[in-house]
Amino acid sequence: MTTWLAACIVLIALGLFPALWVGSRGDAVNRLVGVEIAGAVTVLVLLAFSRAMQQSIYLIVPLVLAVLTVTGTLVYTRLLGPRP
Amino acid sequence: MSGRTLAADVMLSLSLLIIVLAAFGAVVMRTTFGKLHFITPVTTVGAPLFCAALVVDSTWSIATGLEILTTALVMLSGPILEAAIGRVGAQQRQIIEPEGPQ
Repeated sequence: MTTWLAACIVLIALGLFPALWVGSRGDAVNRLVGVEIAGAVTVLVLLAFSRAMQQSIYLIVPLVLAVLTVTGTLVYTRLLGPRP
Repeated sequence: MSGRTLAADVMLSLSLLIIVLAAFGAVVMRTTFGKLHFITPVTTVGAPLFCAALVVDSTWSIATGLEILTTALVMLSGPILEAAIGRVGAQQRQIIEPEGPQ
């Protein structure tokens, strides 16, 4: 097992699952905090996975996810905000 | 073990430690605004350290540039999203006016 694959496993087990736990509890804003942390951790997991597999073509996935996390979270904040 | 590999391992371990502690910190905190503070360590400290470990561990290539771009996106978007989530939370709890400054 390479160092980067080990980093993947650590991030999923100890970073992603706690973030998903936060994302499944409390009110909508509370869950949004969990989704945001989970998104950032998932980007790093995918970067590490790409390096572990030595497939640079996989890097397009975390790049797209990073863009979608930003836009997705901003859309959620807009929808959760007060109605005019 | 070469110096570059050692430096990459140290930075990777440090970034993993910060990210894991921040994730568990978000679980432990009770209030939403308390949890909100734990986004910053992940995006602003953990992600750049992780990227630095990736860069140090390899030679320069287009893939390295893509890794830096992706991490920069995460790093720059973190504070913006944190502010946006905090604003919505404050509006819902009527801490600030619903039609506050945009």
